[in-house]
Amino acid sequence: MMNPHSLVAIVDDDESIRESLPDLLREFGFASLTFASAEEFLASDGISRTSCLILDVVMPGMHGPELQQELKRRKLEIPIVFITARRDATIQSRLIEQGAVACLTKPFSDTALLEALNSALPEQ
Amino acid sequence: MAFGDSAGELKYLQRCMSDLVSVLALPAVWSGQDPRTIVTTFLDALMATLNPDFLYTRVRIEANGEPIEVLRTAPHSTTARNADKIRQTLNERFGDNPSKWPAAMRTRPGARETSLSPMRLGLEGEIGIVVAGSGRADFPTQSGRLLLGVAANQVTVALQQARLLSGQKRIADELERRVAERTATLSAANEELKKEIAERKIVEGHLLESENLLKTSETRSRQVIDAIPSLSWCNLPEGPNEFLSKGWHDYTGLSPEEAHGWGWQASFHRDDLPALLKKWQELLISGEPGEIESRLRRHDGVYRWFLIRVAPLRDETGKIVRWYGTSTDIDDRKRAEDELKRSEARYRVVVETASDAVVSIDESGAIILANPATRRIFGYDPDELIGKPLTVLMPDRMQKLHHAGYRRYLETGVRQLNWQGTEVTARRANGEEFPAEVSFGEMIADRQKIFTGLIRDISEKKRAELAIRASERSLNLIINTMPVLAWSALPDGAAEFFNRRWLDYTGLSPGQALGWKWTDAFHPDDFGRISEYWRSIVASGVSGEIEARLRRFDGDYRWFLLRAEPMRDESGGILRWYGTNTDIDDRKRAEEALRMRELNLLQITETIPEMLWSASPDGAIDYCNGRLLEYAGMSRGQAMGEGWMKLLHPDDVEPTAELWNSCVQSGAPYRVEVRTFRAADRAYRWCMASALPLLDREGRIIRWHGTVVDMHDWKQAQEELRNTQAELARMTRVMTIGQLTASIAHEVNQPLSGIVTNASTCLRMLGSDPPNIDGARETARRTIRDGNRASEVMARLRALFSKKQIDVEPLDLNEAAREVITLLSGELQRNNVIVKREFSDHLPTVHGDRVQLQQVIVNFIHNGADAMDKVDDRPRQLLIRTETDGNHVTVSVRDSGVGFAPDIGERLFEPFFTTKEEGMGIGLSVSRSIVEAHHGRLWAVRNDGPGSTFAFSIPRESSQSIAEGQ
Repeated sequence: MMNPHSLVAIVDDDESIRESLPDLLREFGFASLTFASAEEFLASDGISRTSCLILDVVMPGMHGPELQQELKRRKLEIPIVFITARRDATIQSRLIEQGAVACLTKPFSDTALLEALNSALPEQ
Repeated sequence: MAFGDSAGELKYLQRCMSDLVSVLALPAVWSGQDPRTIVTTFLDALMATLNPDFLYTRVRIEANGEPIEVLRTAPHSTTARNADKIRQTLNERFGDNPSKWPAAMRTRPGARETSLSPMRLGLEGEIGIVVAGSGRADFPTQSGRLLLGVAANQVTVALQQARLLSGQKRIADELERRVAERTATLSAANEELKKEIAERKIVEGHLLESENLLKTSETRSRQVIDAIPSLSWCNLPEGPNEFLSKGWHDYTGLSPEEAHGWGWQASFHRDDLPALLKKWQELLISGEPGEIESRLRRHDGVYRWFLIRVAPLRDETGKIVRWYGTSTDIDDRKRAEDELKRSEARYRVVVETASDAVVSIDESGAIILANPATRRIFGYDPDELIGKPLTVLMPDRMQKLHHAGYRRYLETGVRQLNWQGTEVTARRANGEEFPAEVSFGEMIADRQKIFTGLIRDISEKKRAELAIRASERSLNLIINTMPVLAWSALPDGAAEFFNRRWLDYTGLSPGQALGWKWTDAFHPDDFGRISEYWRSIVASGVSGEIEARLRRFDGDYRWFLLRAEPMRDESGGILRWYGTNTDIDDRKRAEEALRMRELNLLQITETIPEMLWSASPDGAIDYCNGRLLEYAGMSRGQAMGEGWMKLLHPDDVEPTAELWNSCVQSGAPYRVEVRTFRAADRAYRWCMASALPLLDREGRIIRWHGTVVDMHDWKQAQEELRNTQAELARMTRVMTIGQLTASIAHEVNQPLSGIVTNASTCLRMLGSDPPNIDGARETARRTIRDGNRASEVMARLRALFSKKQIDVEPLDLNEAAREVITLLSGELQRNNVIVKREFSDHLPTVHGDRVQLQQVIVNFIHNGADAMDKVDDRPRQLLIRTETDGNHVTVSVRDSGVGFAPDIGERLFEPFFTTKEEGMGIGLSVSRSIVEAHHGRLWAVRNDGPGSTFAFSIPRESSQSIAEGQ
């Protein structure tokens, strides 16, 4: 299966996402941590252990793209999979340009997520 | 206009003043003029200042002389044409004596009423009268009457002067004439007398000579007798002729034979012969020598006078033996004697009747002749003067002088006095002294000098001269004390006189000003203009005036009004120019200051980018600036007074006028919004007119100053802003729904994500080995929970558009659709969508919620535009159409997009059904809720061509239904 050391961090203000995604990821074989905001994620010690970040675009406080910039500034090259409830091709393509692995529109299918995670975490 | 008034008044005052000055200056022009010229210039001046239709004057300079009558009429005046008739009527009605004429009257002598203004000249009108007449009812004005009065006084004084002068002049002239006449006659007589006396002497000399000759001839030979120039002869003692000299025969042309005996008688004049023969008989009887004068015929038939002398020659016994005679031609002498007699008679008449005293004295100074005039002049009887010394006619103090001078002249011939017209003081018999003019002549008679003097009493003339000098002095005084600078110039323009004031003012001496030098006294800037103008006036010969700066003695320049008038002779030739310079500096400066102020103000009011006006205290508009006139398209005259009312919108005229009048009454600030006509677009525009009163120190309103501000655009913008704000509010609501849709989508997506993820997890848990049943149960439970949550969101959303939210109002769907198109036009343009409209012109009003129905249209348009998003091979065209079948109003949006599959037509309006990748399937669902709330219907059809058409229709009377439905 997947690398058991790979930790996936989920940052989303939507509770149902934080509730459902860890179970699906565990089914995929990933360990995960959830954060309700970007600020919470940045403040945690899990940041150094994170191999991949599933990040909501629009959140109260710091938005997802801002967190992307902040991580870049901190030279933390964590692959990011954006998830958003808004269908906006412009924003999505811009996020990819900025280095995101994928940008999924909610609701997304389990396979689309798995595909994104696989490209974010190539097998070692 | 504000400034127009004072300028007009200023001009009027200036005119009055200059009229008065010109009238006051008239006496200077009149001095020494004959009365007719005075009257003429007087009428000219009146004509110019009063501007009457006619002037009639009648003056009498000499108490019993012919009156001077002048009628002067203005050209082109009907009243003037009747002037002569008016004058006749006046004469007939009020008599020939102008002093009986009324002081003022109105009459109707002609067809037209004429105002007359008669003015007496002299206290009792003794000089005459002047009548000014005009057809103008207001004639004469108060200032006109004043001018007439002043001018009449001036002319009266001048005419009195003229009358006085003419009297004095007449006396002096008459004296002069008579003296000259008599002097000439006497001197001629004297000359003649002298000549005759000299001739006579010669003749007498001849006679004497021939007498002597005769005495000696008795013993001389015939040759001697024949040689003597007189005719000699010898008669026999009884009478007949014995011998006639050759001269006799030569003279008479008779031969000795013819003359012999008594034949000589034929040579004598028939008339003289009887006297001659008679005398001869007497002599023959008496034997005495004798003589007779008689005319003797010359050989050519001419008779000449001869003195015939005869003397007897006696023998020793005393008996007469012969008669010897001579005939001497005395014709010339005879004639001279006759002439002398006549001359003496004439001389006597002259001397006897002369009005001057004629007195002759001999060398001793005794009077030997005095004519009758001495009685009148000296009070002495001529006879009693004879033998008296001349000195009785002199004052005592003069006598010594006379004696000395007289003696010196007799001794040396040195004349002490001018013999022709010396003025001396003479004394009358009663001791009164008087000035006399003496001329004398000298004559030698019997080797004695005789002096004849002509003494004329010149006290009258002296008095007249004194009077003339006095009047000249007073005239001079007037000219030099007149409060104007006065001057005169020759016809060619060269100045010949400046009055004292002129010289004092300029500080120049006459020598520095006369001729053309005066021009230097003018300001360098005026110099050229003045010289040129003066030359042009002189050339044209008309009076003129000009303003210029004249240098004062201290170097200051002051403005003067220069006037020049030509004085003409009877033939119209210019004799002299008279002029005055009046100091108008203060007035000029005031004028200048006023003009500058006015100009400044005018510049301000005309350049300020505002519309300005002013009004007099009674509310009449008297000024509008150019901007305002241009705005209104009115001329200055049209806007004045109450003309501005025509600018106002008919509905606004009455309330505006009412307000303006009340402000004018109370002095309250005026401010009104009124529709005012603008010429540029021929439309009424909203303007704000306001005005404030300008008060004087006592708080009285002097004038109103006001502005007009076109606030139409502002007002309209305000209106539009209000409309736009309302619209914006509505549109905000419309757009809010769009945003709401997005946020709804977001809200719905959240639980959907949860549902999808949980469901996926559940499946994976059940599919693992061994199946994670607990996990699957948990995820399934969450799926159900999220599903319920999504359903709640939808319920909430639908509630937003429930019937309870409908805001019913009468509604024009054309207008509603138009607003939506406008609202979305920017977005549609960006997407290259062409919008076409086909709106029905007869769309009935429906009742409904404007915003909600517009939201449906927005939704249709968005859908249509989205459907054409990928279309590039054909125009992205959107046709929005409104129509009605009478009971329903239908709005449809037709696109040329990708269209929809035939099998999904029914599901299009279900919630969450969408064909768009990004679509949530909510728009059409919400639209259906809205339309159904309006008891309408919503549908979609595939076009024959590409694309589809979405439409809704609602019943006309939906409000009723909606109300019932509630």
